Amino acid sequence: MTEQKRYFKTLHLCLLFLALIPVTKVVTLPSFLASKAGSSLWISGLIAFLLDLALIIVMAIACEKSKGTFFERLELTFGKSISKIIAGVFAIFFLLKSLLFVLGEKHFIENTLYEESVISYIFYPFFAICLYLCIKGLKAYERLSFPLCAMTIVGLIMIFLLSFGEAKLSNLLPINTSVRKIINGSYQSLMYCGEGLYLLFFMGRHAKDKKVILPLTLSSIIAYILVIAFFILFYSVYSNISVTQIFAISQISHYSLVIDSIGRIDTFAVLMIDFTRLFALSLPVVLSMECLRFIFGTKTKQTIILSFGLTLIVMLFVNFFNEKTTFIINFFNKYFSYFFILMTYVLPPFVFLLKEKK
Amino acid sequence: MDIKKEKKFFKNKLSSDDIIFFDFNQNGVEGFLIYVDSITDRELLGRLVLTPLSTLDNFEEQNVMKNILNANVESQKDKSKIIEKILEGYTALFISKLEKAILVDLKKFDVRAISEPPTSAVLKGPREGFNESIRTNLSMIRRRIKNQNLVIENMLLGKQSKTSISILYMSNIADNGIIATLKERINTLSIDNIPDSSYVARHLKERKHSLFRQIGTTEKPDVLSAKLMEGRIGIIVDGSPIALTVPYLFIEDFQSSEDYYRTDYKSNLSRILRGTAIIVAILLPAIFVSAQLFHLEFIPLKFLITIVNSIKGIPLSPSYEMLFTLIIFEFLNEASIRMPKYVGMALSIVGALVLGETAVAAGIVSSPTILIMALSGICLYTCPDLVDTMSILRFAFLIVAGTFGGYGLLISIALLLIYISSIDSFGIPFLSPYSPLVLKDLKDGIIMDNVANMKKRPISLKTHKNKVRMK
Repeated sequence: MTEQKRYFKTLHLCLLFLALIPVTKVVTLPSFLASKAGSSLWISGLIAFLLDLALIIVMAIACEKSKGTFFERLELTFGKSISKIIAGVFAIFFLLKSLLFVLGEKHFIENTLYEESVISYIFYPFFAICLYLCIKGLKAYERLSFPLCAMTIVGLIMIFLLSFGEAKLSNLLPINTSVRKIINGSYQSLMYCGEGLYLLFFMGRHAKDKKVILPLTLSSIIAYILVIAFFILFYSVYSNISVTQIFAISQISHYSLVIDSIGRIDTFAVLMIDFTRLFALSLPVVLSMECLRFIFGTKTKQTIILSFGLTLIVMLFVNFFNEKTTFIINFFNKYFSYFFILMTYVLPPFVFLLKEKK
Repeated sequence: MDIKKEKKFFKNKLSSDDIIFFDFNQNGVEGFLIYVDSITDRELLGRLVLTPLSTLDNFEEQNVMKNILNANVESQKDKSKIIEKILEGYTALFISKLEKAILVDLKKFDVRAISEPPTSAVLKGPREGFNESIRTNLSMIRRRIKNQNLVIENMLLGKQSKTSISILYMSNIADNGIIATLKERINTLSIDNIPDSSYVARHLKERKHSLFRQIGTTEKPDVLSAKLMEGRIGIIVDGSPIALTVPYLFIEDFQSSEDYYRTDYKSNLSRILRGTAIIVAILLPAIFVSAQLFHLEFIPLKFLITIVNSIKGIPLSPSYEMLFTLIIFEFLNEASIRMPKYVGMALSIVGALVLGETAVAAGIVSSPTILIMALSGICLYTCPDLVDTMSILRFAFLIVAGTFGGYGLLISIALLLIYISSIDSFGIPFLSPYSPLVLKDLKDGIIMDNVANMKKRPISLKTHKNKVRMK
């Protein structure tokens, strides 16, 4: 990999993680965790996030030390054929991960932004983003790291300010949820986490300008603190009925006094967060595409065809299982959770064993 | 030199009526002059060329050239080059005793006086603007930058028009790679005529069909000289009062020369207003339509009641109503630019009163729609260079909002952002310093620092050769 291709600077990686980590965890995860761990949802979240943070640190170390990309190192270690098979497995994994997320996003949009008028085609422009990002590749994320981070932070701050007045922190007490429930909640929420894995694909694309471990760890910690604060605030507002507030981000500031006088300005904050979500939810598809690029080559025509194909698969899946979201989530939790954990938390640290470029 | 043969050749080649052939005979030595009457200073021709010639006895090349009282004198044998020079405004002198023609620069063009450019008027700061003469424009830059490192490279462009263009840069600041790329692109330009610098700009664009311009423009010498000092490269085209600058960043459209001449508090306020105004201009009609069609909860209750009352009986849907109003606005805009100024007042009355008032009274459009459209129209003109692009985007967003609502709007903004963030202008990211984030260059961003604190040149412009501009 030439220096020109090392376009990701530490600052951009930090901003990207700060932007992407919170947005996938503030929509359905809070109510899901509340159903598993009740008022201790934030403890469940914290445990999962600590595991996630550990993965990020490990992968940041690998990223800093690595001279080549993940695929280059795979090829050096296993040869072309086997490395292409491994890339194929990752491509399938990312595709499956994206299916779950995109389906959730469809329901989130239809139930929050279009409560009054659900039109079937409303969600389909999302796939235009997916397609465009697949064609543009990871460089688009580097370029947009700052706007995405700004959207997330401003959106979350707006939400915090709007909902703080309605929060009763005493709702979180007493902390008497059984350890089993808390751990179960943490385990189940791992499906929503695993951003550290993404670093595997930024490896070798990261400009060796500065040390990456500490800044990336710090930005991830800030992101997780924001998410934990959101969990606490959410449960403080809704207490026992948190479980029924499926889309937490759009519900948390529903009862703010400001909304009565100036309209649903919280929806603007939700839209800002959802703006970043578009990129966060597309990232697994883009990474799947990166794997396919490695397998099939990097010619423009191939990239466009493959991007179309991938996006079409996601679109057909969402269309087909539109009415069966609960079934899909349960199915994934039951049959794919081990595969998810294996791919996200177990395999990536083995990158240290891969041969290094000279 | 066979004078008759030469004259016949040039008469054949230069048959236009304004090209003068003037014969003379000095002490038995025959000769003739060729010049283009319309672009030659005849007074200087008499004083600096003909008068000294009339006293000449020795017709050796060096002696003739020495006696012509002009610094810009050269000898030339190549006939095509002689023709080129004559058409540029040189006077060609042919003497039977010489093998080569003597070329004397006696150009004289009538030029428009230096005045304040209408598109970049300022309250504080220099008021002079470029005019159509490349010489005058270059002199204005030279007057501001008295430095040996200011390089001006002249070339002729246009297969038929042979228009003079000059490339300007500071050799100790500008990136060599960018200079080389620019020259390469200019050299590959094959076009008949260059009536304006915008022709050059269009050919220098990396993405020819992009809605966004990728070449900077300015009509002010103070702006161009400041940009040269930042490491940019300037292009001045003869016959155009608009100079081009590369690389061009999107943030430049939000920067005005006045920002640097007044207090930074006021400048910051202006820049924030410009940024906000552009967002309002392109998104407000779309947001209003999507709120009416899909997200009524966006609208505060009292305002909603006003809207409900005003749209009673309106036959058009909110999106068609807004589209109709926008089209009317574009009609008025187009007409006001082309219409003679004395009709402008009548047009304003027709536009504002007859169309606006009557359309509302007739129940064709609602007053909130007129208000939203007017606000959007005003905001659009806070950044004059963005008007073309943004007025098209406004239509696109409106159609998307009317079809898909807020989510569609969000997606189209994201698509737009992905697209413009991927544009590079001569290797520099178009959205720099925000995308990708370049912390050191934020001092001259939407929120700008005090000019006294801008000690280093923008690193986005690859000013590695000479980073410091102030200590």
